[in-house]
Amino acid sequence: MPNITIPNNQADGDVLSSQSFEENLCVPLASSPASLEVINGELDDDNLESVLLTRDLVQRGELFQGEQVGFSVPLDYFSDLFGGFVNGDAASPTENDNLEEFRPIPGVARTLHFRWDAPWVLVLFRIFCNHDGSHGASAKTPVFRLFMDGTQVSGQRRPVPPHVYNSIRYSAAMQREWSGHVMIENVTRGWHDIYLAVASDAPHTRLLNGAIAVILPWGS
Amino acid sequence: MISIVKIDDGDVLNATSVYGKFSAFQSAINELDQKSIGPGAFQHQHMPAFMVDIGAAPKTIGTNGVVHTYDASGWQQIADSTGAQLRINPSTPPHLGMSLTPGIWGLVILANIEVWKMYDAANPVTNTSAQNLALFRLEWYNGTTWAEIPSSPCSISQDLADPGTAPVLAIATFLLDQPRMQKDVPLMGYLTDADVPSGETVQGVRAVCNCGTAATGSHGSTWTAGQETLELKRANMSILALHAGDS
Repeated sequence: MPNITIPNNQADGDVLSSQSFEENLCVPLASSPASLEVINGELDDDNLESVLLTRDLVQRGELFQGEQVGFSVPLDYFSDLFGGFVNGDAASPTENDNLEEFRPIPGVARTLHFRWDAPWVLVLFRIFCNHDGSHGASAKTPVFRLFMDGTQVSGQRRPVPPHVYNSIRYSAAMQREWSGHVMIENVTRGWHDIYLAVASDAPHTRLLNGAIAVILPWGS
Repeated sequence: MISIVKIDDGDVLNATSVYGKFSAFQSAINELDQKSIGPGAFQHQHMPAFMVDIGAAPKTIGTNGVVHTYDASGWQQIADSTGAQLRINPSTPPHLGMSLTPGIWGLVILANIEVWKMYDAANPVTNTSAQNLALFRLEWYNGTTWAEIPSSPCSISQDLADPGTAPVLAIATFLLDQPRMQKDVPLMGYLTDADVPSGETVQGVRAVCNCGTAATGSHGSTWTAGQETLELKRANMSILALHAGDS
């Protein structure tokens, strides 16, 4: 927003009209206010002389909105929970046809209210996983996917490798922390669900800890 | 403080004197001082954005089940099987520096890369070692050359699955299956005006990879190109341009 520029410069000899007088008092415009109308809630940093913007001058949450949640209590999932799910890296997968089998993970899920339309939202997540799925052409493994409002976020799939080879479990060597980030563009104001979800055809999947962070920038 | 000269009864008004009343307001309101601002007065509508749109849409490459491979020949652009590169070219290549317009304090670059396998195709069982490394880093482009983004390099080893206790047959089968490299590699870089010489712009950011064998005891500081093949799948990258300045 520019500084106030009084629209009608009146000098000696000018005929002082009621219209020009009124315009100098108040010209409500959607942009570039150019009259004393600006004091009706339109003042901003352009109207300041050299001012040090300190935290107390800005309303809380007006620059960034960010939240993070996590969990550290093991969560156990058994393959019965996921119906006929077959992970996408095995033979005859059903993963892409069974996205409804993905279950939101408590502690890696957030419902947020965005106060304004956001040009982008940054989502960061991580999950630590262990399981007893076997290797081979029909490898049994967990898969993680990120969802927003029930729709999977493109490219945010994390397949976990098998942990059992020839009946020997290698979980100590194979366990991983799976992490990711995604910048989701053009998010509308309102309520949104963002969550990491799991589906697995491994007999037993144990999630040991995880977290999700959502960061939104505001500003004009 | 806004001071307006009072208009007394009987004063003659003319255009100049009336306009003078407005200009006094104008000057005062255009230069509000610190004391004029109440606690919590500013909302996001009053503030400049803390991010700058440099035309750098996030990039995702790769699809499920399709790998793209790399050898030990040196740093290579990561690109999926369709040729889509893990690279972002800002449509408005930014200068970096608070004194420039727009003032950009720095670029934060984030990338995640799914590593599928690393193996020596000629010696899949014998050439397996924690000293076999897959290396990754971020680079930026000034229009002529690519340069490493400081602190972005990352390496992961072709680690073994407890070979001291596992039966030999199990290890052999395990190694032949070669999936254990399967990891997610997160990369992060921060580019500031200290990294970008004055007058240059950031015309591109990309992720590259390499693989090889670290010399014993070198902790990866010296290594040689071997016969390793590196397989990657999905990857994505984002750039955040942090704003600082007046415009």
